[in-house]
Amino acid sequence: MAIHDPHGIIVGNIEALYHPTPETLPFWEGCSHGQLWLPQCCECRTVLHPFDSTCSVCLGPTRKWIQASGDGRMITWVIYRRLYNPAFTLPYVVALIALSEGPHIISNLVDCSEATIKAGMPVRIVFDQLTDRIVLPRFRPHSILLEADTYDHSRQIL
Amino acid sequence: MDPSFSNRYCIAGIGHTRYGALPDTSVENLHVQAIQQAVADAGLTKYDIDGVLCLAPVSNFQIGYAVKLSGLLGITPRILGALDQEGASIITLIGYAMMAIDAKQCSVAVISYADNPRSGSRAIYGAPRGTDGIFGWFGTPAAYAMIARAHMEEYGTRAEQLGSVVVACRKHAQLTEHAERHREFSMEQYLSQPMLVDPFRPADCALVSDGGAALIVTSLAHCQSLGIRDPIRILGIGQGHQPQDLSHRQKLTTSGAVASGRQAFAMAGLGTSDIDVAELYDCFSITVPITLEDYGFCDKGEGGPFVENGRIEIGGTLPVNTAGGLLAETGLPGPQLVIEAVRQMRGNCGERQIMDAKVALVSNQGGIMQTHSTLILGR
Repeated sequence: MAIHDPHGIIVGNIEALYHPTPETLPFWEGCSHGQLWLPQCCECRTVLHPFDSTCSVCLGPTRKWIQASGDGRMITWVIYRRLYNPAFTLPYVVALIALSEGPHIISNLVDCSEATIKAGMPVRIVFDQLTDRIVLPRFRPHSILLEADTYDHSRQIL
Repeated sequence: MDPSFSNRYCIAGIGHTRYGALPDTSVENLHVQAIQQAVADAGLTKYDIDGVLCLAPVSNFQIGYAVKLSGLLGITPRILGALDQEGASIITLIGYAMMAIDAKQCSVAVISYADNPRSGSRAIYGAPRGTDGIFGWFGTPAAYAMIARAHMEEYGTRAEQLGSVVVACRKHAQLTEHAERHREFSMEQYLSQPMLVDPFRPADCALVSDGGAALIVTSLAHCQSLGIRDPIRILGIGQGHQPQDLSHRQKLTTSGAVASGRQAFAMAGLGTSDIDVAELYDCFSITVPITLEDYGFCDKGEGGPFVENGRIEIGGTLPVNTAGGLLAETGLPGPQLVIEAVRQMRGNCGERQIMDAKVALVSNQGGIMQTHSTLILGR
Protein backbone atom coordinates (compact mmCIF):
# COMPACT_ATOMS: atom_id res chain seq x y z
CA MET A 1 0.00 0.00 0.00
CA ALA A 2 1.39 3.41 -1.00
CA ILE A 3 2.72 5.54 1.84
CA HIS A 4 2.52 9.33 1.74
CA ASP A 5 3.83 10.59 5.05
CA PRO A 6 3.34 14.39 5.13
CA HIS A 7 6.24 14.61 7.59
CA GLY A 8 8.46 12.18 5.71
CA ILE A 9 9.25 9.93 8.69
CA ILE A 10 7.76 6.75 7.27
CA VAL A 11 8.72 5.67 3.76
CA GLY A 12 8.04 1.93 3.79
CA ASN A 13 5.39 -0.59 4.65
CA ILE A 14 4.20 -0.28 8.24
CA GLU A 15 1.13 -2.50 8.03
CA ALA A 16 2.83 -4.97 10.40
CA LEU A 17 3.11 -2.23 13.03
CA TYR A 18 -0.53 -1.18 12.77
CA HIS A 19 -2.82 -3.46 14.67
CA PRO A 20 -6.01 -1.96 16.05
CA THR A 21 -7.87 -4.34 18.33
CA PRO A 22 -11.53 -4.33 19.28
CA GLU A 23 -10.47 -2.46 22.45
CA THR A 24 -8.38 0.23 20.67
CA LEU A 25 -10.49 0.64 17.53
CA PRO A 26 -12.31 3.79 18.77
CA PHE A 27 -8.92 5.50 19.18
CA TRP A 28 -7.79 4.67 15.63
CA GLU A 29 -11.21 5.44 14.13
CA GLY A 30 -11.11 8.81 15.87
CA CYS A 31 -7.70 9.52 14.34
CA SER A 32 -9.06 8.72 10.89
CA HIS A 33 -11.66 11.44 11.53
CA GLY A 34 -9.07 13.92 12.79
CA GLN A 35 -10.17 13.50 16.41
CA LEU A 36 -8.43 12.28 19.54
CA TRP A 37 -10.58 9.92 21.60
CA LEU A 38 -9.48 8.52 24.95
CA PRO A 39 -11.03 5.84 27.14
CA GLN A 40 -12.44 6.87 30.49
CA CYS A 41 -13.26 4.53 33.34
CA CYS A 42 -17.03 4.48 33.90
CA GLU A 43 -16.53 3.81 37.63
CA CYS A 44 -13.84 6.22 38.85
CA ARG A 45 -13.76 8.50 35.78
CA THR A 46 -9.98 8.28 35.37
CA VAL A 47 -9.02 9.17 31.81
CA LEU A 48 -6.93 6.26 30.56
CA HIS A 49 -4.17 5.70 28.05
CA PRO A 50 -5.67 4.91 24.63
CA PHE A 51 -4.30 1.35 24.74
CA ASP A 52 -5.38 0.62 28.34
CA SER A 53 -8.09 -2.03 28.28
CA THR A 54 -8.56 -1.88 32.05
CA CYS A 55 -8.53 0.80 34.75
CA SER A 56 -5.54 0.28 37.03
CA VAL A 57 -6.98 2.72 39.59
CA CYS A 58 -10.29 1.06 40.52
CA LEU A 59 -10.23 -2.01 38.23
CA GLY A 60 -13.64 -0.96 36.93
CA PRO A 61 -14.86 -3.27 34.19
CA THR A 62 -16.19 -0.76 31.69
CA ARG A 63 -14.83 2.19 29.77
CA LYS A 64 -16.45 4.86 27.65
CA TRP A 65 -14.71 6.98 25.02
CA ILE A 66 -14.43 10.77 25.35
CA GLN A 67 -13.11 13.30 22.87
CA ALA A 68 -9.87 14.94 24.03
CA SER A 69 -8.40 18.34 23.23
CA GLY A 70 -5.25 17.15 21.51
CA ASP A 71 -3.19 19.56 23.62
CA GLY A 72 -0.34 18.48 25.80
CA ARG A 73 3.21 19.06 26.96
CA MET A 74 6.52 17.41 26.17
CA ILE A 75 7.82 15.25 29.03
CA THR A 76 10.91 13.84 27.32
CA TRP A 77 12.13 12.73 23.90
CA VAL A 78 14.81 10.92 21.94
CA ILE A 79 16.18 11.44 18.44
CA TYR A 80 16.80 8.29 16.43
CA ARG A 81 20.11 8.46 14.55
CA ARG A 82 20.28 4.78 13.69
CA LEU A 83 17.55 2.87 11.91
CA TYR A 84 15.80 0.02 13.70
CA ASN A 85 13.29 -0.53 10.90
CA PRO A 86 13.73 0.15 7.18
CA ALA A 87 10.25 1.68 6.91
CA PHE A 88 11.55 4.81 8.69
CA THR A 89 13.95 7.61 7.72
CA LEU A 90 16.45 9.38 9.98
CA PRO A 91 16.50 11.41 12.02
CA TYR A 92 13.11 11.37 13.71
CA VAL A 93 11.91 12.34 17.16
CA VAL A 94 9.95 10.03 19.46
CA ALA A 95 8.40 11.91 22.37
CA LEU A 96 6.57 11.13 25.57
CA ILE A 97 3.72 13.61 25.85
CA ALA A 98 1.48 14.47 28.79
CA LEU A 99 -1.99 15.06 27.38
CA SER A 100 -4.06 17.80 29.04
CA GLU A 101 -6.60 15.16 30.06
CA GLY A 102 -3.93 13.24 32.02
CA PRO A 103 -2.62 10.25 30.10
CA HIS A 104 0.97 10.17 28.84
CA ILE A 105 1.43 8.86 25.32
CA ILE A 106 4.26 8.01 22.93
CA SER A 107 4.17 9.81 19.59
CA ASN A 108 6.38 11.74 17.17
CA LEU A 109 7.26 15.41 17.51
CA VAL A 110 7.16 17.08 14.08
CA ASP A 111 7.68 20.59 12.66
CA CYS A 112 10.27 21.43 15.29
CA SER A 113 14.02 22.00 14.99
CA GLU A 114 15.97 19.70 17.31
CA ALA A 115 17.69 22.58 19.12
CA THR A 116 14.42 24.12 20.25
CA ILE A 117 12.86 21.03 21.85
CA LYS A 118 12.35 21.50 25.58
CA ALA A 119 10.75 19.53 28.37
CA GLY A 120 7.47 21.19 29.30
CA MET A 121 7.01 22.65 25.82
CA PRO A 122 3.31 22.94 24.82
CA VAL A 123 2.35 20.73 21.88
CA ARG A 124 -0.80 20.14 19.87
CA ILE A 125 -1.90 17.11 17.91
CA VAL A 126 -1.78 16.80 14.13
CA PHE A 127 -3.19 13.90 12.15
CA ASP A 128 -1.03 12.48 9.38
CA GLN A 129 -2.82 10.34 6.80
CA LEU A 130 -0.23 7.76 5.77
CA THR A 131 -2.34 5.30 3.79
CA ASP A 132 -5.99 4.82 2.91
CA ARG A 133 -6.61 3.34 6.35
CA ILE A 134 -3.76 4.54 8.61
CA VAL A 135 -3.96 8.01 10.16
CA LEU A 136 -1.28 8.65 12.77
CA PRO A 137 -1.62 11.17 15.63
CA ARG A 138 1.55 13.23 16.00
CA PHE A 139 2.40 16.42 17.83
CA ARG A 140 3.96 19.76 16.97
CA PRO A 141 4.95 22.74 19.09
CA HIS A 142 1.87 24.70 19.97
CA SER A 143 3.55 28.08 19.57
CA ILE A 144 4.37 27.27 15.96
CA LEU A 145 0.76 26.37 15.46
CA LEU A 146 -0.29 29.78 16.72
CA GLU A 147 2.34 31.86 14.99
CA ALA A 148 2.71 30.28 11.59
CA ASP A 149 0.08 27.73 10.85
CA THR A 150 1.33 26.00 7.76
CA TYR A 151 -0.26 22.65 8.43
CA ASP A 152 -2.66 21.43 5.79
CA HIS A 153 -5.94 21.18 7.65
CA SER A 154 -7.69 19.74 4.62
CA ARG A 155 -6.37 16.40 5.89
CA GLN A 156 -8.56 16.72 8.93
CA ILE A 157 -12.22 15.97 8.94
CA LEU A 158 -13.41 17.90 11.96
CA MET B 1 13.50 -8.49 54.39
CA ASP B 2 13.17 -8.58 58.14
CA PRO B 3 16.42 -7.70 59.95
CA SER B 4 16.29 -11.13 61.61
CA PHE B 5 17.39 -12.55 58.24
CA SER B 6 20.54 -10.41 58.23
CA ASN B 7 23.90 -12.08 58.80
CA ARG B 8 22.44 -15.61 58.83
CA TYR B 9 22.89 -16.54 55.16
CA CYS B 10 25.82 -16.39 52.78
CA ILE B 11 27.06 -16.76 49.27
CA ALA B 12 29.20 -19.87 49.44
CA GLY B 13 30.29 -20.25 45.84
CA ILE B 14 30.52 -18.32 42.58
CA GLY B 15 31.14 -19.43 39.04
CA HIS B 16 30.89 -18.28 35.47
CA THR B 17 31.83 -19.25 31.94
CA ARG B 18 33.86 -17.20 29.52
CA TYR B 19 31.90 -14.14 28.36
CA GLY B 20 31.53 -12.67 24.89
CA ALA B 21 30.78 -14.44 21.62
CA LEU B 22 30.52 -18.17 22.26
CA PRO B 23 28.84 -19.46 19.10
CA ASP B 24 29.99 -23.05 19.51
CA THR B 25 28.47 -23.60 22.95
CA SER B 26 24.77 -24.11 23.64
CA VAL B 27 22.98 -22.11 26.34
CA GLU B 28 22.40 -25.37 28.20
CA ASN B 29 26.11 -26.11 28.18
CA LEU B 30 26.93 -22.59 29.38
CA HIS B 31 24.40 -22.92 32.18
CA VAL B 32 25.71 -26.26 33.41
CA GLN B 33 29.35 -25.08 33.17
CA ALA B 34 28.58 -22.02 35.30
CA ILE B 35 26.83 -24.09 37.95
CA GLN B 36 29.63 -26.65 37.98
CA GLN B 37 32.14 -23.83 38.57
CA ALA B 38 30.07 -22.40 41.43
CA VAL B 39 29.60 -25.80 43.06
CA ALA B 40 33.34 -26.50 42.81
CA ASP B 41 34.17 -23.02 44.12
CA ALA B 42 32.07 -23.78 47.21
CA GLY B 43 33.83 -27.12 47.63
CA LEU B 44 30.56 -29.00 47.12
CA THR B 45 29.18 -31.50 44.64
CA LYS B 46 26.00 -31.22 42.61
CA TYR B 47 24.33 -33.66 45.02
CA ASP B 48 24.56 -31.02 47.76
CA ILE B 49 22.17 -28.77 45.79
CA ASP B 50 18.57 -29.13 46.89
CA GLY B 51 17.23 -25.82 45.52
CA VAL B 52 17.43 -24.77 41.85
CA LEU B 53 16.37 -21.17 41.19
CA CYS B 54 17.00 -19.37 37.93
CA LEU B 55 16.02 -16.72 35.42
CA ALA B 56 15.16 -18.22 32.04
CA PRO B 57 17.16 -16.99 29.02
CA VAL B 58 15.91 -13.51 28.16
CA SER B 59 16.58 -13.77 24.42
CA ASN B 60 14.84 -17.11 24.13
CA PHE B 61 12.33 -17.28 26.96
CA GLN B 62 10.85 -20.69 27.70
CA ILE B 63 8.56 -22.13 30.33
CA GLY B 64 9.60 -24.84 32.74
CA TYR B 65 13.22 -23.71 32.68
CA ALA B 66 14.19 -24.70 36.24
CA VAL B 67 12.85 -28.22 35.69
CA LYS B 68 14.82 -28.46 32.48
CA LEU B 69 17.94 -27.19 34.22
CA SER B 70 17.58 -29.68 37.07
CA GLY B 71 17.38 -32.45 34.48
CA LEU B 72 20.55 -31.14 32.81
CA LEU B 73 22.24 -31.22 36.22
CA GLY B 74 21.03 -34.76 36.83
CA ILE B 75 19.49 -33.88 40.18
CA THR B 76 16.00 -33.81 41.67
CA PRO B 77 16.04 -30.77 43.99
CA ARG B 78 13.53 -30.35 46.81
CA ILE B 79 12.49 -26.96 45.43
CA LEU B 80 12.93 -25.33 42.05
CA GLY B 81 11.58 -22.48 39.97
CA ALA B 82 12.29 -19.75 37.48
CA LEU B 83 11.45 -16.20 38.50
CA ASP B 84 10.95 -13.34 36.09
CA GLN B 85 11.82 -9.93 37.46
CA GLU B 86 13.89 -9.35 34.33
CA GLY B 87 17.29 -7.92 35.31
CA ALA B 88 16.35 -7.70 38.99
CA SER B 89 15.83 -11.46 39.26
CA ILE B 90 19.18 -12.69 40.56
CA ILE B 91 19.24 -10.69 43.82
CA THR B 92 15.56 -11.33 44.37
CA LEU B 93 16.20 -15.06 43.96
CA ILE B 94 18.94 -14.85 46.61
CA GLY B 95 16.30 -13.44 48.98
CA TYR B 96 13.79 -16.15 48.07
CA ALA B 97 16.46 -18.81 48.59
CA MET B 98 17.02 -17.44 52.11
CA MET B 99 13.29 -17.68 52.84
CA ALA B 100 13.17 -21.24 51.50
CA ILE B 101 16.16 -22.22 53.66
CA ASP B 102 14.54 -20.52 56.65
CA ALA B 103 11.37 -22.54 55.98
CA LYS B 104 13.52 -25.69 55.81
CA GLN B 105 12.41 -26.33 52.24
CA CYS B 106 16.01 -26.61 51.14
CA SER B 107 19.52 -26.04 52.52
CA VAL B 108 21.79 -25.28 49.54
CA ALA B 109 20.36 -23.33 46.60
CA VAL B 110 21.95 -22.57 43.26
CA ILE B 111 20.91 -19.35 41.54
CA SER B 112 21.91 -19.09 37.93
CA TYR B 113 21.54 -17.60 34.49
CA ALA B 114 22.81 -18.28 30.99
CA ASP B 115 21.92 -16.93 27.56
CA ASN B 116 23.50 -16.36 24.15
CA PRO B 117 21.93 -13.24 22.59
CA ARG B 118 25.23 -12.33 20.94
CA SER B 119 25.53 -15.52 18.90
CA GLY B 120 21.81 -16.29 18.87
CA SER B 121 19.08 -13.69 18.52
CA ARG B 122 19.26 -10.17 19.89
CA ALA B 123 15.89 -9.31 18.33
CA ILE B 124 14.33 -8.64 21.73
CA TYR B 125 16.61 -5.64 22.29
CA GLY B 126 15.48 -3.91 19.07
CA ALA B 127 11.83 -4.92 19.03
CA PRO B 128 8.92 -2.47 18.66
CA ARG B 129 7.94 -1.15 22.08
CA GLY B 130 4.42 -2.43 22.70
CA THR B 131 1.92 -1.04 20.25
CA ASP B 132 3.98 2.12 19.70
CA GLY B 133 6.29 0.71 17.02
CA ILE B 134 4.30 2.66 14.46
CA PHE B 135 5.84 5.84 15.92
CA GLY B 136 9.31 4.41 15.28
CA TRP B 137 9.56 3.51 18.98
CA PHE B 138 11.96 0.57 18.86
CA GLY B 139 14.54 -0.94 21.13
CA THR B 140 15.69 -0.90 24.73
CA PRO B 141 18.33 1.87 24.30
CA ALA B 142 15.69 4.42 23.23
CA ALA B 143 13.56 3.76 26.29
CA TYR B 144 16.47 4.40 28.66
CA ALA B 145 17.49 7.37 26.51
CA MET B 146 14.06 8.85 27.28
CA ILE B 147 14.90 8.60 30.97
CA ALA B 148 18.39 10.04 30.40
CA ARG B 149 16.93 13.01 28.52
CA ALA B 150 14.43 13.63 31.30
CA HIS B 151 17.28 13.61 33.84
CA MET B 152 19.29 16.00 31.68
CA GLU B 153 16.35 18.36 31.30
CA GLU B 154 15.36 18.24 34.95
CA TYR B 155 18.78 18.36 36.61
CA GLY B 156 21.21 19.58 33.98
CA THR B 157 23.01 16.24 33.70
CA ARG B 158 25.53 16.38 30.85
CA ALA B 159 26.98 14.01 28.26
CA GLU B 160 30.39 14.21 30.00
CA GLN B 161 28.77 12.86 33.17
CA LEU B 162 27.27 9.87 31.35
CA GLY B 163 30.70 9.49 29.77
CA SER B 164 32.33 9.42 33.20
CA VAL B 165 30.36 6.25 33.99
CA VAL B 166 31.43 4.63 30.73
CA VAL B 167 35.09 5.62 31.15
CA ALA B 168 35.17 4.29 34.74
CA CYS B 169 33.69 0.94 33.71
CA ARG B 170 36.07 0.64 30.76
CA LYS B 171 39.07 1.43 33.01
CA HIS B 172 38.04 -1.22 35.50
CA ALA B 173 37.50 -3.80 32.76
CA GLN B 174 41.13 -3.32 31.74
CA LEU B 175 42.07 -4.71 35.16
CA THR B 176 39.71 -7.68 34.76
CA GLU B 177 41.08 -10.61 32.84
CA HIS B 178 37.74 -12.15 31.91
CA ALA B 179 36.09 -8.82 30.92
CA GLU B 180 35.00 -8.34 27.32
CA ARG B 181 36.24 -4.76 26.81
CA HIS B 182 39.97 -4.42 27.32
CA ARG B 183 40.98 -1.47 25.19
CA GLU B 184 41.55 1.98 26.60
CA PHE B 185 38.57 4.25 26.18
CA SER B 186 38.86 7.97 26.86
CA MET B 187 36.31 10.73 27.36
CA GLU B 188 37.36 12.12 23.96
CA GLN B 189 36.59 8.76 22.35
CA TYR B 190 33.25 8.68 24.14
CA LEU B 191 32.25 12.17 23.05
CA SER B 192 33.33 11.57 19.45
CA GLN B 193 31.11 8.49 19.05
CA PRO B 194 28.13 9.21 16.77
CA MET B 195 24.78 9.13 18.54
CA LEU B 196 22.74 5.93 18.42
CA VAL B 197 19.51 7.23 19.91
CA ASP B 198 20.26 10.76 21.07
CA PRO B 199 21.26 11.35 23.93
CA PHE B 200 22.85 7.85 23.89
CA ARG B 201 25.95 6.77 22.04
CA PRO B 202 26.71 3.07 21.56
CA ALA B 203 29.10 3.19 24.53
CA ASP B 204 26.21 4.14 26.85
CA CYS B 205 24.63 0.74 26.20
CA ALA B 206 25.25 -2.64 27.83
CA LEU B 207 27.22 -5.26 25.95
CA VAL B 208 25.22 -8.02 24.32
CA SER B 209 26.91 -11.17 25.56
CA ASP B 210 26.88 -14.93 25.62
CA GLY B 211 27.71 -16.56 28.91
CA GLY B 212 26.52 -18.17 32.11
CA ALA B 213 26.94 -17.38 35.79
CA ALA B 214 25.88 -19.03 39.04
CA LEU B 215 25.91 -18.54 42.83
CA ILE B 216 25.49 -20.92 45.74
CA VAL B 217 23.41 -19.67 48.68
CA THR B 218 23.23 -21.42 52.03
CA SER B 219 22.92 -20.55 55.69
CA LEU B 220 25.91 -19.75 57.90
CA ALA B 221 24.63 -22.52 60.17
CA HIS B 222 25.18 -25.05 57.38
CA CYS B 223 28.63 -23.77 56.46
CA GLN B 224 30.60 -25.79 58.97
CA SER B 225 29.06 -29.16 58.12
CA LEU B 226 29.39 -28.36 54.40
CA GLY B 227 33.02 -27.29 54.80
CA ILE B 228 32.46 -23.85 53.25
CA ARG B 229 35.75 -22.04 53.69
CA ASP B 230 35.02 -18.42 52.85
CA PRO B 231 31.33 -17.58 53.15
CA ILE B 232 30.38 -14.02 52.25
CA ARG B 233 27.63 -12.83 54.53
CA ILE B 234 24.31 -11.49 53.24
CA LEU B 235 23.51 -8.43 55.32
CA GLY B 236 20.67 -6.78 53.43
CA ILE B 237 18.20 -7.48 50.63
CA GLY B 238 15.48 -5.30 49.16
CA GLN B 239 13.30 -4.86 46.13
CA GLY B 240 11.25 -2.03 44.65
CA HIS B 241 9.22 -1.73 41.48
CA GLN B 242 7.28 0.73 39.39
CA PRO B 243 4.86 0.60 36.44
CA GLN B 244 6.11 -1.24 33.37
CA ASP B 245 5.33 1.44 30.78
CA LEU B 246 7.07 4.80 30.88
CA SER B 247 3.68 6.32 30.05
CA HIS B 248 2.25 5.04 33.33
CA ARG B 249 4.94 6.56 35.58
CA GLN B 250 4.44 9.86 37.30
CA LYS B 251 8.21 10.41 37.44
CA LEU B 252 10.83 8.97 35.11
CA THR B 253 14.02 9.95 36.91
CA THR B 254 13.38 8.08 40.18
CA SER B 255 13.53 4.29 40.29
CA GLY B 256 12.55 1.35 42.48
CA ALA B 257 16.01 1.78 44.04
CA VAL B 258 14.48 4.18 46.58
CA ALA B 259 12.28 1.51 48.20
CA SER B 260 14.71 -1.31 47.51
CA GLY B 261 17.71 0.50 48.98
CA ARG B 262 15.76 1.59 52.04
CA GLN B 263 14.81 -2.04 52.79
CA ALA B 264 18.30 -3.38 52.23
CA PHE B 265 20.02 -0.73 54.37
CA ALA B 266 17.42 -1.11 57.13
CA MET B 267 17.81 -4.89 57.16
CA ALA B 268 21.59 -4.56 57.34
CA GLY B 269 21.45 -1.77 59.91
CA LEU B 270 23.90 0.16 57.70
CA GLY B 271 23.98 3.43 55.77
CA THR B 272 25.61 4.68 52.60
CA SER B 273 28.76 5.71 54.48
CA ASP B 274 29.35 2.05 55.37
CA ILE B 275 29.65 0.99 51.71
CA ASP B 276 33.22 0.37 50.53
CA VAL B 277 32.43 -0.76 46.97
CA ALA B 278 29.29 -0.71 44.81
CA GLU B 279 28.39 -2.89 41.86
CA LEU B 280 25.49 -1.06 40.17
CA TYR B 281 23.36 -2.36 37.33
CA ASP B 282 24.64 -0.27 34.42
CA CYS B 283 22.59 -1.59 31.54
CA PHE B 284 22.77 2.02 30.36
CA SER B 285 25.05 4.75 31.70
CA ILE B 286 22.19 6.83 33.14
CA THR B 287 21.22 4.12 35.64
CA VAL B 288 24.38 4.70 37.68
CA PRO B 289 23.72 8.34 38.65
CA ILE B 290 20.01 7.59 39.21
CA THR B 291 20.75 4.57 41.41
CA LEU B 292 23.34 6.52 43.43
CA GLU B 293 20.77 9.28 44.02
CA ASP B 294 17.98 6.86 44.90
CA TYR B 295 20.18 4.98 47.37
CA GLY B 296 21.04 8.27 49.02
CA PHE B 297 24.75 8.60 48.15
CA CYS B 298 23.88 12.12 46.95
CA ASP B 299 20.84 14.34 46.64
CA LYS B 300 18.33 13.81 43.85
CA GLY B 301 19.72 15.35 40.69
CA GLU B 302 23.31 15.32 41.95
CA GLY B 303 24.19 11.95 40.43
CA GLY B 304 25.80 13.61 37.40
CA PRO B 305 28.36 15.64 39.37
CA PHE B 306 28.83 12.65 41.75
CA VAL B 307 30.18 10.34 39.04
CA GLU B 308 32.69 12.91 37.73
CA ASN B 309 36.37 13.43 38.54
CA GLY B 310 37.16 9.78 39.19
CA ARG B 311 34.94 9.56 42.27
CA ILE B 312 33.47 6.21 41.14
CA GLU B 313 36.77 4.85 39.84
CA ILE B 314 39.05 2.51 41.79
CA GLY B 315 40.93 4.86 44.13
CA GLY B 316 37.92 7.20 44.28
CA THR B 317 35.64 7.72 47.26
CA LEU B 318 33.08 5.14 46.06
CA PRO B 319 34.48 2.65 43.54
CA VAL B 320 31.64 1.46 41.28
CA ASN B 321 31.59 -1.56 38.96
CA THR B 322 35.12 -2.65 39.74
CA ALA B 323 35.12 -5.35 37.03
CA GLY B 324 33.47 -3.14 34.39
CA GLY B 325 29.77 -3.92 34.86
CA LEU B 326 27.33 -4.50 32.01
CA LEU B 327 29.05 -1.75 30.03
CA ALA B 328 32.46 -3.44 29.91
CA GLU B 329 32.73 -6.75 31.83
CA THR B 330 29.80 -8.57 30.25
CA GLY B 331 26.19 -7.83 29.37
CA LEU B 332 24.61 -10.60 31.47
CA PRO B 333 21.60 -9.30 33.41
CA GLY B 334 23.05 -9.10 36.91
CA PRO B 335 24.84 -12.18 38.24
CA GLN B 336 28.31 -10.86 37.32
CA LEU B 337 27.75 -7.88 39.65
CA VAL B 338 27.02 -10.16 42.61
CA ILE B 339 30.02 -12.31 41.71
CA GLU B 340 32.35 -9.30 41.60
CA ALA B 341 31.04 -8.11 44.98
CA VAL B 342 31.78 -11.56 46.42
CA ARG B 343 35.30 -11.42 44.97
CA GLN B 344 35.85 -7.98 46.47
CA MET B 345 34.67 -9.26 49.86
CA ARG B 346 36.99 -12.26 49.59
CA GLY B 347 39.79 -9.83 48.86
CA ASN B 348 41.18 -11.66 45.85
CA CYS B 349 40.64 -9.13 43.07
CA GLY B 350 44.31 -8.47 42.44
CA GLU B 351 45.01 -5.09 40.86
CA ARG B 352 41.41 -3.99 41.16
CA GLN B 353 40.97 -5.01 44.81
CA ILE B 354 39.52 -2.24 46.97
CA MET B 355 41.79 -2.27 50.01
CA ASP B 356 40.15 -3.24 53.29
CA ALA B 357 36.72 -3.46 51.65
CA LYS B 358 34.33 -4.91 54.22
CA VAL B 359 30.88 -4.03 52.89
CA ALA B 360 29.71 -4.25 49.27
CA LEU B 361 26.48 -3.00 47.72
CA VAL B 362 24.96 -4.55 44.59
CA SER B 363 21.99 -3.41 42.54
CA ASN B 364 20.04 -5.39 39.97
CA GLN B 365 17.43 -3.76 37.77
CA GLY B 366 15.04 -4.95 35.12
CA GLY B 367 13.12 -3.82 32.09
CA ILE B 368 13.09 -0.07 31.55
CA MET B 369 14.03 0.71 35.16
CA GLN B 370 10.78 -0.94 36.30
CA THR B 371 12.10 -3.61 38.66
CA HIS B 372 14.92 -3.20 41.17
CA SER B 373 16.64 -5.31 43.79
CA THR B 374 19.44 -4.53 46.23
CA LEU B 375 21.99 -6.71 48.02
CA ILE B 376 24.42 -5.78 50.77
CA LEU B 377 27.27 -8.21 51.43
CA GLY B 378 29.85 -8.21 54.19
CA ARG B 379 32.91 -10.10 55.28
